[in-house]
Amino acid sequence: VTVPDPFPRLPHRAPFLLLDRVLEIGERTGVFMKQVAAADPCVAADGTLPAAFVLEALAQGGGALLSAITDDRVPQPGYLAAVDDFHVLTPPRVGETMRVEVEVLRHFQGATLLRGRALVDGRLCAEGRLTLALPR
Amino acid sequence: MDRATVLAEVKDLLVKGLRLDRAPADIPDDSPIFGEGLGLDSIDALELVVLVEDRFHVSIPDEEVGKRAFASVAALADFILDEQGRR
Repeated sequence: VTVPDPFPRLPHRAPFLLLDRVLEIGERTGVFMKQVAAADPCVAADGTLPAAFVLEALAQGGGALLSAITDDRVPQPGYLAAVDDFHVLTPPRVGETMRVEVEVLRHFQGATLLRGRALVDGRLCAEGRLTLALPR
Repeated sequence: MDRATVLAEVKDLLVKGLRLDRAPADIPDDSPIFGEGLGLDSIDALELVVLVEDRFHVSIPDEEVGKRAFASVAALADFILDEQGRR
């Protein structure tokens, strides 16, 4: 059985694809989920998902959202260009489902500023602002 | 605000907001903001749009307006004064 790739335009693949499913895509917002599993090599020895991978999940959510709301058919390789005010309150743990929410705040000259949040069971785990850029 | 005040605030915003390694007073009025002027790039442009809109309550809706507003430090001050004068 071939399972359709929910993120055909993201270049990331397991184990560095840090999103499992698309929950919602709106005009400026996207919601995604990731199940934090013990077998995930990104999980730390203490059973938490480290801040760097939470941040990466937000960035991948941003990339997936931008891919979905732009009409370019050829995937553009973007990159995480800047991070502001990012902080982790409580890192997601093994067995928890992380909800990734991203919102486009501003787009200008090939760079997009997004707000990202990671939640578990409605509890805010991490948040920050990210800038994604497409090289010209 | 008069033009000199806006110019001074723009330079202060550029230095503090974009963490430039120079004093505001060392930035010439006619200095281009991008490229060889202050050496800023497209990531800085997005950050500057957000900073200018928040600080001066003006709108830079697209790249065409941005190109005009960001032609130089003085052009940005004049753009802000023009936009504020329309209100």
